[in-house]
Amino acid sequence: MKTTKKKKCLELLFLFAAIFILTPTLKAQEIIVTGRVTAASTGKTLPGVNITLKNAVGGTATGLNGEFKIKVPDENTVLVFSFIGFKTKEIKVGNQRYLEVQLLDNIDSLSELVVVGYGTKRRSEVTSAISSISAEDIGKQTTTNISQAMQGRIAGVNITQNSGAPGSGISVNVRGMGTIGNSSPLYVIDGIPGGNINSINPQNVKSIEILKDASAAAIYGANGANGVVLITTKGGRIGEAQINFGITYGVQQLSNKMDMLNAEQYARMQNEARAASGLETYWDDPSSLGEGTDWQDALARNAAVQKYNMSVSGGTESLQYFVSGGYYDQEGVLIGSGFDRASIRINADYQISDIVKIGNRLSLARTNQASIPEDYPFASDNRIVGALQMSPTVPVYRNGSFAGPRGDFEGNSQGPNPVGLATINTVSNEVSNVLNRSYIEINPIQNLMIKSELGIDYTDGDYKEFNPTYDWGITSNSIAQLYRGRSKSFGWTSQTTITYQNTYKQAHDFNLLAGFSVSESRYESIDASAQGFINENVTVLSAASQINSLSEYIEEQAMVGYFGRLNYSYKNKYLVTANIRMDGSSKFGSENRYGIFPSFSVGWRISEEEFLSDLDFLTDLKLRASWGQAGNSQIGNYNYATRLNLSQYYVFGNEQDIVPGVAPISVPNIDVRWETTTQTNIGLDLAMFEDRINFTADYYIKNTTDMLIPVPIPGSSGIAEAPYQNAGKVLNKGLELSLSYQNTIGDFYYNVGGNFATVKNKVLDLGSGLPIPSPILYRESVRLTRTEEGRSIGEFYGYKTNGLFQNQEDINNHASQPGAEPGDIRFVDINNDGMISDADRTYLGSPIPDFQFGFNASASYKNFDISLLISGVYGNKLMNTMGYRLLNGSFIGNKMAAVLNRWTGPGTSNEMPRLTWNDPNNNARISDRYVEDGSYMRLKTIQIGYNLSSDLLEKVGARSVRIYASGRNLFTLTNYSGLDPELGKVNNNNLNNGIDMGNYPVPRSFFLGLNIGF
Amino acid sequence: MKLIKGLLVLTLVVMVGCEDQILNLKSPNEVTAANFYQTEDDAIAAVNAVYDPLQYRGLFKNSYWSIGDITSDDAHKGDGGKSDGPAWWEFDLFEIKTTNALLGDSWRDSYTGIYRANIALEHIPNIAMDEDLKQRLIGEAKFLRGFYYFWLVRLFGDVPLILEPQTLGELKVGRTDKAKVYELIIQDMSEAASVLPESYPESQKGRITKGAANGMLAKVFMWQKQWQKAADRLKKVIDSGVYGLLDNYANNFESAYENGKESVFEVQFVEGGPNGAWGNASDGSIQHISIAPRNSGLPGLQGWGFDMPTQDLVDAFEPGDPRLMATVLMEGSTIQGKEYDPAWSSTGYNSRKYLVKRDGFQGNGSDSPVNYRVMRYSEVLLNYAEVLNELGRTPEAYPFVNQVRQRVGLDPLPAGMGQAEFREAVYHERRVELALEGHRWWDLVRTGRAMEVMTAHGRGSIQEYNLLFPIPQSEIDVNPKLTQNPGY
Repeated sequence: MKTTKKKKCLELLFLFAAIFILTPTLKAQEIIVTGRVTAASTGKTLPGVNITLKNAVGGTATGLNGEFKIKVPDENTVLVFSFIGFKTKEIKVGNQRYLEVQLLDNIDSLSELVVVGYGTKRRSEVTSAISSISAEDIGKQTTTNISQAMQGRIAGVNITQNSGAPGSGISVNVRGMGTIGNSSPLYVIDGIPGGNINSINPQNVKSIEILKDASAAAIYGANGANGVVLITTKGGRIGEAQINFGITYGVQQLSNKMDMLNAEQYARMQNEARAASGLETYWDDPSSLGEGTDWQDALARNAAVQKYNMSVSGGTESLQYFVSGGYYDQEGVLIGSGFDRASIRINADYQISDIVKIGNRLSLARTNQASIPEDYPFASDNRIVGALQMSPTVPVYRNGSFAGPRGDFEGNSQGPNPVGLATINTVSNEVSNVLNRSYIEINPIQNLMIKSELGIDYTDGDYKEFNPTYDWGITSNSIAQLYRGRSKSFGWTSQTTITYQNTYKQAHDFNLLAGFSVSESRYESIDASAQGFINENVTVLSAASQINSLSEYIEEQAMVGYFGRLNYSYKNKYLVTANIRMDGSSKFGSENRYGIFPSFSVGWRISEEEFLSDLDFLTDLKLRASWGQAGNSQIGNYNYATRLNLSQYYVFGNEQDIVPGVAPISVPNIDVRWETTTQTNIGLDLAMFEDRINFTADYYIKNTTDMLIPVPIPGSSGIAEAPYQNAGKVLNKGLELSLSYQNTIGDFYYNVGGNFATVKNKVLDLGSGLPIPSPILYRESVRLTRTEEGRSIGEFYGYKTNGLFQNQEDINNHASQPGAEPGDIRFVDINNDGMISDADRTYLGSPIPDFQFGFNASASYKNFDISLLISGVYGNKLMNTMGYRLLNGSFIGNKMAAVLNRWTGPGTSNEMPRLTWNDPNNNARISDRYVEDGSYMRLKTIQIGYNLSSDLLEKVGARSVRIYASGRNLFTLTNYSGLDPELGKVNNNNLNNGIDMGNYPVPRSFFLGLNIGF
Repeated sequence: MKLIKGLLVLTLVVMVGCEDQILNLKSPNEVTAANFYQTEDDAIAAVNAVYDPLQYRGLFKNSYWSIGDITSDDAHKGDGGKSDGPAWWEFDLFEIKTTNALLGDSWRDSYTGIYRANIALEHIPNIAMDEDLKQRLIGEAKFLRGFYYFWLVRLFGDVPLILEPQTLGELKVGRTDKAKVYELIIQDMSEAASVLPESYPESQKGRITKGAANGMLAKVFMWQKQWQKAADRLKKVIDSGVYGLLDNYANNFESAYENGKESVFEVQFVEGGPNGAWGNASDGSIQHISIAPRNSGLPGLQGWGFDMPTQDLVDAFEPGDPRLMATVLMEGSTIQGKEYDPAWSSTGYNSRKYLVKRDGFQGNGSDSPVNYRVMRYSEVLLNYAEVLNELGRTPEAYPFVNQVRQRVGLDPLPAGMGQAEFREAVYHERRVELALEGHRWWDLVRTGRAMEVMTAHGRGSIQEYNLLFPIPQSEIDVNPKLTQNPGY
């Protein structure tokens, strides 16, 4: 396979993708069929029903009055009627020329098409663990992005908003954390891996499929180990143009507040802490200070959301189109934050001839996120912690400007006025994205399909942060700073597949797929920082008096893959699927470049067996089993090479010239290769009573081997950056259940569903056998979690506490704990060596839940409908680092109201230690004081809608009108004391999971919306 | 149709043919070892990178002076509660933990310097270039390797002795007896002293000179109590005629006098370097923000109040010694053109020497441009006086102490002191001359007075084992061959 031939490979690849073949359009015979489509349950006419010819080209859709007219080739033609929410119906034309068609409400999920890697399958044929979310489910939620829309809907997919800030990131884990590295799933948009999912308007999505087990994901080989999310956008439908217009307006507010001290209490507590350390007190008369400022209220606001969508779709037999434009604008509930997105989508499919079809999916989007700093734990640099810590004695404004503390005792060290900073400091990140997928499908002979696709993803990033000067009390910034970043990334993927399918003797169904793909991407960024602006209204780099730094960074990667799949079914009863993929990646050295990923799955539709044919209530019963391997290569590029860094600067000369220094900053690991996940899955699908009850159960065992971890290396190596090594093993296993029930009683339709998933995560091997501590979080050199063999990834690590010392005798009776005085925390002598030291730190709980659950329900009666979604987790622990500063007297700044219950003498408290300025016992150290139960249950979304009846519609001249009111995150049940129990990972790092750094809380929102269709 | 099939086959063939070409990518940001270390410029850049860690936190950005001053009776950790800067408190109170951040930084950053020196020493001999320059660069790298080891051996005692670049498989190395480490330091610095120039052109000031190598080597000999060898080296520095005392003592800590005639070894800092502030990679120091008064409320003079002078130190100065006001901010001081207010600190004192002193300074205190004077000529003189006295040549030693005293207008030492009395006089002179420059703790340890002095000083409770600091636990965690020092 190796050759040194210098070829212009890419041009040839493109050439193929660009072939354009024109052949004469099929001339059809002239049978004309007309008719009308109504809903069987209500008798109402159905506009927009899709009508296609089975096994032939052509189609139309019903008009406003539910009527249609279609040309068919001959009397053997079968017409297929399909419409969202209804069962698809097939009718052979025969000698009929007028058809009165009644569609049954869709309580049949078996024939529903499921998108799988490089193709689709009927639900009944699926042999692996794949979950789907329909456009309807997505549409009923008022969400910013696709990930939010998936939350709570799928067993085994854990989705957590890292922050409630508008436009912020989301952690998605499919079936637990398979690795301590990056465990995000692979996103495939319209068939091609990659792309920025934040740029996609959820309203344009037709379906989302999640490939959970390895047999489904293995076709994505080297990138499939953490599961695959397939996103399919809406295409056009045959029929006259349909115009849909949607508008939503909403208000959000802070859903929770922390109980903090008021000014008078604050001054009293501060005096007490200082007195306890023998220091002179600051405040002469605390009682004169009153309530003071509530900084949480001052930073928060009622924030608006507005959303506009418009789409036009339609098509002829040969050309279908879907064109959509959307605008979304969300203010943040905290001053200084916000997000907006403008997006355009143009999707089109063109049947050129009997054998050639081309199509395109184009998305143009621009997002702009304004943010406030929240990713610093413990520190006032985090705007939320800054507001919580700010002295309530300081007003928000003074003399027409923002107020500042007037002396150290008012809290200079906890930072300047957070409302002022949120107002004047601006951070904007504007991202423009072009995502295009083009395809050509060729049907040269019956049963054979060749499909070639080209995906292009172009992203332009524009970051700007400006911190102007200010002078508030004793806090000031005398020099304005500017940070600029421009980046662009360009990636392309070319893939070609050949599919052959056939049926022999009406019993043996074969479907064979072979394909290859190539992809390349390149990322470039230029970052600069500057300071000093003569006029702060002009904030371009060239107006700065000094450029502080300027840097450029480039990264490239490439992959090549070959894959094949065989589907076989016997009488639709016994189902077999086998996949194999070989991938090559530029991330690995030439010796370890390729990985091979096989998978195998079988299904047995027991319900098709003769011996069960008597069980009339049984709609479907299928047993599934699968085994497969997939890979993960989500590490940095060039790990295998010895790289020298060029910017190890030093300074020489009396002019203080900066001179470049060159040195290696990493040890290469020439042996680095794929991380492999081997997964076994056993599943059961059961449908009963004409599909009214649906039940799915899956049990999986997922073993990650050769886990890529930066095994810590000794500092004596002189190397700061530990290279990735294939060193670890992680086991995830779990049970996933989902159950739904739906029924129609007269005009009343309802369905209820729930899902439940457990995951047990265990680290089996870390290479060196040594535990891996989490990265240090910002300034305090505190590591909050540790990952050790035999435990789960990222368990909290620190001291255990055992109440407070009530008197000197308690202290004398305890292991030596230097500095302890009555009222201080008694730390547990874990190793029983008679002294409290770092060696007494231990594991304090895991941020991984025992189980997660979701519950959804919807109902409709005549023109009204209602739906709701509840989701939650149980049994996880959270580290509330806010307590570190907000519960301890040794930090300047405001405290939680909980300190009012502090120890003030023997017997007064056994939980809240005394307040001391110097904290000689180091009560503040990381301990189980900050570890809390993170279980919660949340009403994610609820929506009530009203659809105008058809006679009213006729009057207004619309096809459909829907008015709705909805709410998000209206209600949360939790024992967690922080602002929000829904906590993701810090910097998307699995080792810093479940840590509350003063995260932006998820807001509570109310919406009103109107959808009109013409 | 045939066209389609044909193209499909062709594409497959091309795919197979060119995939290796697609997958072979090199980092556009960095050079690889294979195409570097070939020219004179490469050699210079490789040695510049050996200097770079001198600016790191584990060396002169932070740990060097923090440990040298705060562990001693000269300085406290300073303002801020016990939870504020625990690593500094640990030295202040002799509660030094195995997780101490300053020690962890010192360990890692020193070895970063050693690794880079090893890389440079591996490659530079093979580069075709000017032979004099080659020898000089090798000398600089050797001195720096010796210097990093000297810092390590004083902090930790026995340490892993690594003299060649390692591969991934050979990173776990046990500790080497400190006598062997000292042997290497002496060898490296001796070789450096023999090839390095006495001085550099203006544009190259800050590189290691022959005087720096001899001066530092003498100090190493003093730690070994090899007095004669120390004396020989110190004499060379003095006789070179390159160095002298500045007329005004306080100018030693002014920007305008950086790399002046009193400076024997000086670490360079500059503000606004390309790698920003705070981090190891930055080219400025965090010393200004660390020691600036905590409560001044002045933008350019607002800091953490660390490295706070003790009353003991203030009392150590003789009446009328101008070095007090150059060392300590106190009632009557002016700084940045403003009068110092004792209320800016909880004790009424702050450390002065390494503050940015220019009027109206409003820059980033965490990116301070003030160079660090590691070895001043006055130390060379005091070292020589101490060494001569130890050799029993007390009368010869007098002029060297007196030079230092005369410069600040103090009377010469009274004549006729015995060896013991003179030794105390030199010790005292060292303390006030070199106060808050990172020397005091090491002088106490070297001269065997640490237990006595620090016990009398009465802060925390020093234990014998505190004379060596703990090996960072994080290092033992990843390298089971390392053992901990006793007591920790």
